[in-house]
Amino acid sequence: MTENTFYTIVFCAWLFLLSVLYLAALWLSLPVWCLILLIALASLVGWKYKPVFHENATASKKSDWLEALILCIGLSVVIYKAWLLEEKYGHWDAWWFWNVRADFLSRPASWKLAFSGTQMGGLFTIPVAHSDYPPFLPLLNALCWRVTGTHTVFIPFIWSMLSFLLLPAILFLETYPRNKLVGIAVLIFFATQERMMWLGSWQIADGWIGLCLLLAFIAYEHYQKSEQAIGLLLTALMLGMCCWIKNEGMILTGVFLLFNSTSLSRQKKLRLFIAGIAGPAMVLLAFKLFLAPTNDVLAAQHAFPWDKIKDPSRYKEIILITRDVIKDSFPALPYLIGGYLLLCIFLRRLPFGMFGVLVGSFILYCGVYVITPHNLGWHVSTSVDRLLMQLIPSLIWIVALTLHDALSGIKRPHFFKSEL
Amino acid sequence: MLRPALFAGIMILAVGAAVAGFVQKISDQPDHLDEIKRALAELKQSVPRTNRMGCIALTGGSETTNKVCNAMVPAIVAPEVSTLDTTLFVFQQHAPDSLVNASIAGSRKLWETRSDHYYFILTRKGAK
Repeated sequence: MTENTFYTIVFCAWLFLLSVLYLAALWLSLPVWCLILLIALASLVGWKYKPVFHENATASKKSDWLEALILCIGLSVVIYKAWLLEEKYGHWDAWWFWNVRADFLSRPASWKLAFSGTQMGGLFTIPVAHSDYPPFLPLLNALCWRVTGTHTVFIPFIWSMLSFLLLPAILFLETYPRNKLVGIAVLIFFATQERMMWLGSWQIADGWIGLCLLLAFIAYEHYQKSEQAIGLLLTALMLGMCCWIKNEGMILTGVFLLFNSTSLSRQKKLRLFIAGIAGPAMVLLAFKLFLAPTNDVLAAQHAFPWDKIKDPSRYKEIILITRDVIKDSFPALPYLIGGYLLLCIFLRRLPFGMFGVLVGSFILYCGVYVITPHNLGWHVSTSVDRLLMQLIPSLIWIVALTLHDALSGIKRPHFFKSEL
Repeated sequence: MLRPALFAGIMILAVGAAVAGFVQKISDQPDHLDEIKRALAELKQSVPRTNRMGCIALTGGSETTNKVCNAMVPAIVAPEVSTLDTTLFVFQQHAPDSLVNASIAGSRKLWETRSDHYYFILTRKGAK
């Protein structure tokens, strides 16, 4: 793991702290100057722990200017492609609920209405959609709106663009020092994913969850390689961040734990993991217990949905729509997976481990579709591309790492083989 | 490997370039959400936030309704609901009188305004 990845993780943790402090400030009705003080406090905490990261990261004494130039070219292509598709208020997901929730949260008198809930089938349908989603991104937007005293459209745009641009940057910076060709290939691959560019301009939280999952995977690989405790701590912290960004984060964390249960069940490792995830987990628990309404999918289940689970036509519909979305939006994805499986055969590896976490998570995502109270076709076709956006950066990284191993003959059994 | 300061500089430049492009992009973009926000600014000031109102868009379906909900924050607007006492109807700018009259029949007109693309009528249940 490079120093830059360490600092990006610290930056994400700082954002987590900011969002939580802002939520606490709303709860306690603190004025704006208190918020600025809290931001300074959060920054000081980050600065205090800086030496810890310095000790553990692969530090760079001298910058590689060619690497910087390639990164700049890659980012320019990504920015240009996203620019072609940008809209003032983001896409419908943004103005339908992400930015609406931020708008409520920026008003001290009415912030609780952001969690006013969804009542399916009743008189009121969706006053504030998906109120039960963890409010990481809306809180960040609201905090910036409140501190600047405006509701400028640039704030949600900057946050969304930052998370999106960090994806190819981190992928490139993690792979280029290992193998220059693989690093460049990763950047080119990312920049040619048109749908990713479009989704990156939507002003939604999926870019953040994709980034935190990628950082968790990188930190875990660092831990497997170096056995440094900080690697596992940061893995858990980033998985906790995923949970605080969107509900899907809980699925990702659950599947990650399942696939690494044997390894993590050793007492010391488990303690480290719990220490890392404790902060986000406690905040999420408090949010779900005291603020969030019931999830709309769960609220609509008046009885156990056996009929839906036993209905094969629902599975068929999910598979067909997902296939069509992949064909239209991510045509390179089957080749990426196929290439990975071929590399596994070449390296005589089982395609489990981290790849299994991604596949398992996607299957569980689809499990939610099976029981959805919404129109199945509508639900799958409007959201499966964003679910894939969360997983694809981590998949690119796994494939890049495997390709690097194949080119340099490295064995890495723990990270890639499931220990189940 | 890049030094963190250089990496941070590149990221700041990249986001800055993206923002500059965004400014240029949105300056000549037709924006219905912005139009709805401007049209409803006056109404938004006068609606108490505890007052729950319904919204029915006879133009643009759920997309327009959701944009109205966005524009009316912090008032709570229930999309696709006309059974509440107060309902905001949204029509095309030049909607036929027959459609407007049929939609608001049995309600009292409280407020109305027009924008480039839309015609908004706020109604309350009860005799005219």
